[in-house]
Amino acid sequence: MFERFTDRARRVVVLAQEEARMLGHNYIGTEHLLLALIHEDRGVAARALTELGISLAATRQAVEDIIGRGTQAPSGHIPFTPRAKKVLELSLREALQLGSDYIGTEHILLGLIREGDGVAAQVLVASGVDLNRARQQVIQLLHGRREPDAPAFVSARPLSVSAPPTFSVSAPPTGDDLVGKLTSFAARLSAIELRLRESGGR
Amino acid sequence: MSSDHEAEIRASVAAHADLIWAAIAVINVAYARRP
Repeated sequence: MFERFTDRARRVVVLAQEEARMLGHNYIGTEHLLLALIHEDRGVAARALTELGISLAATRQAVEDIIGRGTQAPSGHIPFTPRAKKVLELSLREALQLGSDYIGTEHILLGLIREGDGVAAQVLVASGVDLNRARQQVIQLLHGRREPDAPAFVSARPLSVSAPPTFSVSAPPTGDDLVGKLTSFAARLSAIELRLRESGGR
Repeated sequence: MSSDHEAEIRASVAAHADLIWAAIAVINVAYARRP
C-alpha cells in the first residue's frame, strides 16, 4: 500500500476541496489542485510556482474566468473529477520515477504538468508558464534542496489512529552525492587546465 | 515542526480524513496496477 503522502500533500487535498467550495464548484478538479498547491505556500510546488511568477489571487481569477463561479458552496462530499484522479495517479508515477518513497506537493505538481490537458494546465499556459520549464523548475528545486521536509516525512503515515509507529523512513535523494561528484570533477578539470597551461607555456 | 503552520496542517488533515483516504485510495489502485 502506498500511503506515503506527506502532510503537506494531504493538506493540498484538503485545500483543493476548500478552493472548490469557495468557488461554488461541486467537484475537485485539476484547477482546484493547482490552487491548493499555491495555497500550501511552504511546499516545494508552491516555491516552484512562485518562482515562475504564479500567484494565488491571479490564478483564482484565471480559474473563475475559465470555469465561472457556482451559485452556492456545495454541501457534503465533493468528488474528484476523473482528470484530478489521473493527476493523483500521475503524482505516484512521478514519485516512483524520481526514486521517492513518498508523494509530496512537488509530485502532485509534476502530475498536473504531465496530465497537461486539464484546466490547471490551461491556466498555467495562459499565465505564460512553459510546462517543460515548470517541470525543470520543480526538479531543480528538489535537487537543490539541502534537506528534506523532515516534518512531512516523520508524519507521512497512515491516518489511522491505531497505526503502528513503525513507519520506516529512508532519506530521499538530496543531490548531495551529485554535488560532491561535480565538485570533485571540477577540481580535476582545474588541475588538468593548470597542467595544460603550464605545458603550453614551456 | 512545532510552528503554527504545521499545527494548522495537522488539524486540517485530521479533519478531512475521508477525503484524504479517497485520494490515497486512487493512488493505491494505481500503485497496485503499476507494471
